[in-house]
Amino acid sequence: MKTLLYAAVLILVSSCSGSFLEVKTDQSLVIPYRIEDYQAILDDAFRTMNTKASIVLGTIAADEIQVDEEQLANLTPVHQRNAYLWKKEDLFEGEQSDDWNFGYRRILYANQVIEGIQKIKPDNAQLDAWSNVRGSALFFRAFNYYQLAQLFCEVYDEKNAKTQLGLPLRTEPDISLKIPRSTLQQTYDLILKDLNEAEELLPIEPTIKQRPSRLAVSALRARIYLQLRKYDLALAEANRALSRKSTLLDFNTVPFDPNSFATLQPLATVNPEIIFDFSGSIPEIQRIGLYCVNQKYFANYRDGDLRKKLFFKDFNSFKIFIGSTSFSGGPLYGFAVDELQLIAAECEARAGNLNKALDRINTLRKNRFEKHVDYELHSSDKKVVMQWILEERQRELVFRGLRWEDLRRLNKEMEYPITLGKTFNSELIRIEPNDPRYVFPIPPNAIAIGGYEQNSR
Amino acid sequence: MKIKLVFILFLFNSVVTTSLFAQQTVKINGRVVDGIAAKPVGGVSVQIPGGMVLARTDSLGQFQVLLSTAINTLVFSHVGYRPDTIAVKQGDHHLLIKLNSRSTILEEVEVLNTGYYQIPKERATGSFGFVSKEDIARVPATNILDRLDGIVNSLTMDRSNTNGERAADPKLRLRGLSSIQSNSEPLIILDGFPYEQGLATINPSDIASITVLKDAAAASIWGARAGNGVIVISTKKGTTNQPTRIQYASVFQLQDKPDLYYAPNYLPAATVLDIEDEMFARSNYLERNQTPIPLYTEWLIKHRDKKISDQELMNFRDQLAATDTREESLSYFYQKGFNQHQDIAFTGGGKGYAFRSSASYDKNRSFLKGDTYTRWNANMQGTIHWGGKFKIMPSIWYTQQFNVQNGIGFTSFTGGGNSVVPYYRFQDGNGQSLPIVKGLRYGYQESAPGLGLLDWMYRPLDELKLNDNRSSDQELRMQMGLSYEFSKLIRWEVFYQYLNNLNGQSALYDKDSYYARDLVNKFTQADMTKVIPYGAIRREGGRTGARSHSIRTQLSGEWNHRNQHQLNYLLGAELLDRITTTSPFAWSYGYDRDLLTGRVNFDYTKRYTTRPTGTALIPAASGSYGLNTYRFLSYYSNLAYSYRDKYLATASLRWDASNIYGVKTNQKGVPLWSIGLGWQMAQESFFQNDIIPSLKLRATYGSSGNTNPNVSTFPIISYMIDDLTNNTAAVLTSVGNPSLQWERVNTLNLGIDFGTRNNRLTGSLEYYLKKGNNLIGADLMDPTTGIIDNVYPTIVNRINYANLQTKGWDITVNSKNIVGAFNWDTRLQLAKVNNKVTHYNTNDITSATIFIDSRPPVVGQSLDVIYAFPWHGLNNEGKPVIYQNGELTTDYINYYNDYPIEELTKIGGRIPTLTAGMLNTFRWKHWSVSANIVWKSGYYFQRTTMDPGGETTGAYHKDYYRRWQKAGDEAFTDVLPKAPANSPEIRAIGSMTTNSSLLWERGDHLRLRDITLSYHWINKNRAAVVKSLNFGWSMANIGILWRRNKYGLDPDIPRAPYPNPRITSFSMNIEL
Repeated sequence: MKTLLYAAVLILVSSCSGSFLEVKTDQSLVIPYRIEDYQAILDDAFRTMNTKASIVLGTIAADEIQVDEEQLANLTPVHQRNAYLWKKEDLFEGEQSDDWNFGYRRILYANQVIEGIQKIKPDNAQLDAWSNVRGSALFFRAFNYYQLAQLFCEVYDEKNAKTQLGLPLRTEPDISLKIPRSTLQQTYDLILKDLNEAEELLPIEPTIKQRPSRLAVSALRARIYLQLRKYDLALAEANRALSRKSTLLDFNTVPFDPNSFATLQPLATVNPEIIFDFSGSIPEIQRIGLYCVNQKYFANYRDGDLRKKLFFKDFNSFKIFIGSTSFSGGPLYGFAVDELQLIAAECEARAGNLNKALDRINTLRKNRFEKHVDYELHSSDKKVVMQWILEERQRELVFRGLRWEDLRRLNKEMEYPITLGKTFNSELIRIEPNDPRYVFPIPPNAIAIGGYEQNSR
Repeated sequence: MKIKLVFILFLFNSVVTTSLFAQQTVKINGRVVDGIAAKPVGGVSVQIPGGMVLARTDSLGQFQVLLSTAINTLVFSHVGYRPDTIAVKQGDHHLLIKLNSRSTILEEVEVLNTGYYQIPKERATGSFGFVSKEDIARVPATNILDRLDGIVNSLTMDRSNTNGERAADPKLRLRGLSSIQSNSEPLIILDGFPYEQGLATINPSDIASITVLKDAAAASIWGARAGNGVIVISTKKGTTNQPTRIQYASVFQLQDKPDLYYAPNYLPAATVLDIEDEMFARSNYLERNQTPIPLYTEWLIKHRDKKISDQELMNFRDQLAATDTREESLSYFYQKGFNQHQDIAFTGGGKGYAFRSSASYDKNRSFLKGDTYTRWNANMQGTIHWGGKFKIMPSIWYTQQFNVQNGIGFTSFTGGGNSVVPYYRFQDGNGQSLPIVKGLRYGYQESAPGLGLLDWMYRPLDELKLNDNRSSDQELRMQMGLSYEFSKLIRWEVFYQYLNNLNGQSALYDKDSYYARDLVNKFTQADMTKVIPYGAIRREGGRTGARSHSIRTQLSGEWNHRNQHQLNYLLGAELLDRITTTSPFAWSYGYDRDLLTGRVNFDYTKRYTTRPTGTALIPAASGSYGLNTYRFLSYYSNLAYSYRDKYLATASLRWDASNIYGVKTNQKGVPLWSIGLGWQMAQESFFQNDIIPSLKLRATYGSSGNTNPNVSTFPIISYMIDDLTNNTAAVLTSVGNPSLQWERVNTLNLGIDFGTRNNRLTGSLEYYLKKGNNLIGADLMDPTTGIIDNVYPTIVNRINYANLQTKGWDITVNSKNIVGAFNWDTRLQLAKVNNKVTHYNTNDITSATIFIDSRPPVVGQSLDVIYAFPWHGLNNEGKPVIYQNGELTTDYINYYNDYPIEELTKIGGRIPTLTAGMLNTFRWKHWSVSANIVWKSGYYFQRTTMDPGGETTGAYHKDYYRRWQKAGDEAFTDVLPKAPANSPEIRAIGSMTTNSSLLWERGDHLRLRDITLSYHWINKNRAAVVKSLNFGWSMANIGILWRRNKYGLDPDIPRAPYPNPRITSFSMNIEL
C-alpha cells in the first residue's frame, strides 16, 4: 500500500515533467535558428537597421546646417554643439556618440546574422532566402563600417593607408573579443570584400526598399570609389547601376501644398529614384526637429528650380528643409538614382568626357526645373563643367549626408578646396582644408573600456 | 532562597519514594485537549513533578504511562499551554486533561508555520520571525505590508523609490542583500502557495499569523526563489466543536493634508518673479509655439509687444507676488484623507466540521482630491472530517478592487520649468477657473480661438471633473486540500490552488477635457478639418491577467520511540503553472457616454501635419499582446529528529526546475539543501537553574538560490511589427552568455534563545553569514561591441560578475519591566547588517564620472557604498576649491574629466546598516497603550541644491538664498553662485558639485512610527451574547523625533515631495 502510494505520487509528477518545462517563458521571445528569424533581425528597419544613420557629427560639422547663434550657448547635447563649433579638445565632454553606438549596434546585428546563418545548410527551396539573408548582412556591415570610417578615420590615402588608423573591425558577434583598431587599408579591404560577396548573393532589385540589393551594392561601391578617388571604378559602378535603373522623378508632377512640412515624403513609396531606404535623425541641436539650412546654401537655387520650393520653407526666421523622400520622414541617407547620375557626371567630366557628363547633368536638371525654364548647361571648358557638377551636387544632394564626405575628399585632392567659416560670439572660426578636425575623436566611453588609440585632433 | 530549599526537598522526596516503591506500577492512559477548542493537543509532555518526562501525547492527544503507585500527580506541559498538574489515582484509564492556551492569558503560541508544516518554536533550529495576531492588529492599515513595517526584526521596507505623490509599494528587504540585479525581495507564501499579486487583495483581519523565514534552513524548503527569505502568511481557520462566533470590526481613519511646505525645491513667488524678470531681460526664453514659457514671462512678452500697459503688467505682477501655489493647491487639490474599513467574520464548527467565512469592505478617500480606493473581499473556508482519517479542506476567496486616480498633484504644476511654479492661482474672485501653462506656449494656446481652433487652455480645477481614470482588479482564489491519515507514520495530503486575477484600466476624457481638446487641436489641418472629431475620448485596456494552477502532494508522518527518539518527515512534489497576459490599449474617439458609441475608423498609418509643428500618427493600439508562462516543478523533503527533546537535528533537500532557467534541461534543475542542529541546553541536568530556565543553542547551514528571468545563454530575439515596413521584424534583446551559471546563496545562521525566570526576560541573539556566489549583473561594455545601454532597444550583457558576502546580527529582547496590575513590556529589536563584495569581474572603468554614475561593485567594499568627488568648500571667486595631483588648480574641465578614481572620496553606504525598534506597551486593567520607535543609522542619502544655472531651466531650490555672492561668502556657504552663462567650465563645476561629498548627508534618525491606545474587555460570562469588546485609537506616520541632517529632510524618502501624512485611526471590534 505504502509503496504503491509513493509510486503513484512520484509517477504522477515526473511523467509530465519532460514537456512541462519546455514551454517558453515569454511567447514573443525566440532563440533565432531559422532563416526567417535571421531575416526578421535584418528587417528591424525602424528601430535599428534603416534609421539613425551614423552621419550626425559630419552633418553638424559641415556647412549645410545653421544654428541660431543666440541659442547656441545653451544647446545640448554638448558634443553636438562642440562639433558645430569645431572644438579642438574634449569634443564629447563625457557624452556618448549616437553615430558610434548605432553604427556598431547595426554591425552587431549583422555579425549575429552572419554567424547564425552560416550554421544553416539550406536546401534548394531555401537557397534564395538564405542568400538574401547572408548578402544583406554583409551589405549592412560594409555600409556601416564605411559610414563610421568617414567620421572617425582620416581620408583614405593610398600611399599611407597601411599606416593610417582604421576602425576596430568586429566580424564576429562574440562580445568578449578585444579588437584593436585596424589600419585604414584593412578597413576598406573588409568593406569591399563584404560587398563583393554580397553582390553574388543578393537579388538585383529588392522586394522592399529597406532591404539591400545588387543595385544598392553598386550604388555603395560607386560612393566608396568616389571617396577613394578611384574615379574610373566609381564610374563603372554608377553606370552599372544606372543601366538597370535610371528613371528620375519629374518634380513638375509633385503636388505642392504650401502648408506641408513634407513635400516629397508622401511619394516615398512610389518615388522611382530610391534604390535603398536608409534615413537618419535630425541632430538635437536643430531644436525645431527639422534641418535649418544655411542661408548661403539656399542662395544656390535660382528661380524656376523646383527644388527651391519643394526642398525649403520659411519657418520663423529660418529656412527649413522639407524635401526628404525617405520612408521614415527623416533625412534620406540611402541611395537614389540622382546621386548615381551625379557620380557618373563627375567621373565622366574628370575623364574629360564633357558631353557625357553634361548629358547626365541635364537629364537630372530636366526633371528638377519648371517646364518653361531653360535648364540646359553647355560648355567645353572642363573646369567650368566640373564646377557646375559640384554645384549641382550641393543643390541636389542637400541633407543627404554627402556634404561631409565631399568636403573631405575634395580637400584631400586640393583641386577644388573648400575653407569653412562660421561666426560665434562675433568671432570667425575658419577651418582650412585637411584640418585634423576633419576626423572626430573616438568616443571616450569606447576608449575607457576598449583602450583604442585616439585620433589626434 | 526559600524556594530553592523547597525545590531540593521535593526532589529528594520524590527520588526516595520512587526508589522505594519502584516495583509497584500501574498503567494510566488518557487524552489531552485544548480547554476551549476541545481539539486534541499533540506533543504535550507528561512528567512527574520535577522529574523525568514519561511520555508525550500523539497527534490525537493520547498518551499512556506506566506509573509507580507512589506517585499521585502528573504534570502536563506544552509550549502553547499553561502547564497543569493533575492528581491521578489507581485505575484512571481515561483521563481527560484540558489545557488552557497561554494565548488568552499570556502570549500567543509561537507555532511557526513554514507553509509546508507547523513546528513549535522549541523544536526549530532555523531562524524565524513570528508576527502574532496582536502585532498585526496593533495599527490598522488597509494593506498588510504596512502593518509589518517595523514589526519583524531585519525586515525593512525601502520607500526611497517614492518620488511622486502616490506612494509606490515599498521594496521589501530581509537581512540585507543577497543579490545585485536579480530579484532581491523575499518570496511571499499565502496559505501554502507562492503569491505574486502584491498583498493588497488580503483583508488584514483574515490573517492568523505571519512567519518570516530568514535563513537557509527555512528558505531551502521553498527553493530557488527563496534566497531572499520567505514570508509565510496563514489565514484564520475555524475549529471543530466550537459554537459559532461572530466578529465584527470597524475602522475609521483620518489622514492629514500633506505638508507641501516640506520640499526644498521651491522658491516663493516674489523671488521667482524677480528671476523671470532677469531671465527675460537675458532672452533666456525661446519664444516658440511648442515650448512652454512661464506664465509671468508671457505677460512680459505681451508688455514688450505693447499689448498691455505698464500698469496692467504691474497689477498682474502684484497679484502673482501675493500668491502661493502651495496654499492654493492645499485648498483646491488636497483634502483630509478618510478611510473606512468594515468586516464581519463567522467562525464555528460542529462534530466533524469547521468553517470560517468573512466579508470586508474598504473605502479610502485619498488626501489627493479625486483619488479613491475601494476593496470588497469575501471568503469561505471549511474543514470536513470524514470518518476518523479523511479530511477535506475547501476554500474560496474573492477580492475586487477599484482605484480611481483623478487627482491632480501640485508637483504637476511645473509648466515651462522643472520646479513647481509658485504663483499659480486656480480660481478668480468670481469662481472662474483659471488656466495655467501646460504642454505648449501659453501665448499660442491663447490665440487658438482666433485661429479657429478649440479653446486650448489648461484649467486644472476644471480637469478634476472632466477626466475619469480608473482601474479595477478582480481576483479569485480557490483551494482544495485533502488529507488522509493512514497511521501516525503516514499521512498523505494533496493541495490544489487555482488563482485568477484580472486587471483593467480605462480612461474617459470628456470632450471639454484638456486631453481631448489638445488632441483635436493638434490634428486640426490647415484647411481646418478636424482629423479627430471633437468629442470625448475613451481609452480602454492595458488589461493584464494572471492565472495559475498549483498542485502539491506530500507524505508526512512521525515516529516516536520510547518518548526518546522523535522523528518527523515530509516528502513531496509540487507543480506550478502560471500564465500572465497583457493586451494593448484601444482608443475610441468622439465617444458618447450615453449611447456608448465611438469612432475607430481612421487612417492610423497616415502622418498628419500637427499643430503647432511636426507630424504625427493618430494615437492607436499597438496591436501586440503578451503571453508569459512560468512553470515550476519541485521535489522537496524535510527531516527533523529530536532526542529527549534536548538534541535536535533537521535537514531539508529540494530540487527545483523551471522553464525560466534557460534553455537546456540540464541547466534547469537546482538542488538546494540545508542542515540544522539545536541543543536545549537548559534541559541538561548540569545546567538546570532557576535564573535561566530556558536556553537553546541552534545552528543551520544551507544553500538556496535566486532567479533572474532576464538571462539567457543564447541570443534572444523578440518579434514585433516594424513601424516602417509593417512587416514582421525581430529585435535582438540579448546576445546570450554561454557560460552563465545560476546564483547561489549559502547561509550560516547561529542563534541563542533564552528566557529568564517567569519569562521576565526572553529573547534571541542571532548571527548570520550569507555568501551570494555567481551573482548576475550587467557587464559594463565597450559600445563598439554593440552592447549599449542607452540605445533602444537596450541590449544588456548579463554575466556572473560578483560574489557578495552579507553578515549581520539580529537581537531581540522582550522584557517584562513591571508585572502586576500594571504591566509594562518592552520589546527591543536590533539588526546590524553589512555586506562586502568579495569578487568582481567585469570591464574596468577608467573615468571617475562614469564610475560614480554606474556605481560598479568594488572588491572589499560594501555594494551600497557611494563614491564622490571630494569637497573642500568654495574659494573667494565662488568656485569649488579643487586639488589635482595634490596641487591646487582651477582647471575644472580637466579635473572633472580626468579625476583618478582611486582619489574619489568614499562616503559610505546608502542602506541603513543598523536598525533598531523599540515597542513599549503599558497595560492596566482593560487599557493598553503602546508606542513604536524606530532607529536607523549607518547610511547616507543625497540631498539636492540650487544649480548654478537653475534659473534658466526653472529648477529652483531654497538654497538659492544661500548662494555665494561676494568674496568672503565662502566662509559660511557651500552653494555655488549664479552662473553668468552656460559654459563648459560651469557645466564641469555643476556636475562635479552634484557628484561631490557636499550633498551626501548622514541618514541617522529616530522616528516615532506610531502610538496606540486600546480598551479590551472580555466578558467573563462565557454564556453572554457579547464575548468581547475592543476599542482602539492609534496614530501612524507621526514623524521624526531626531535626525542627523540639518535640512529637515526625511532620509527614507529623499526624493518625495512630502512625507506620508499622519493617519489617525479609530477602531472597534465586537465578538459575539
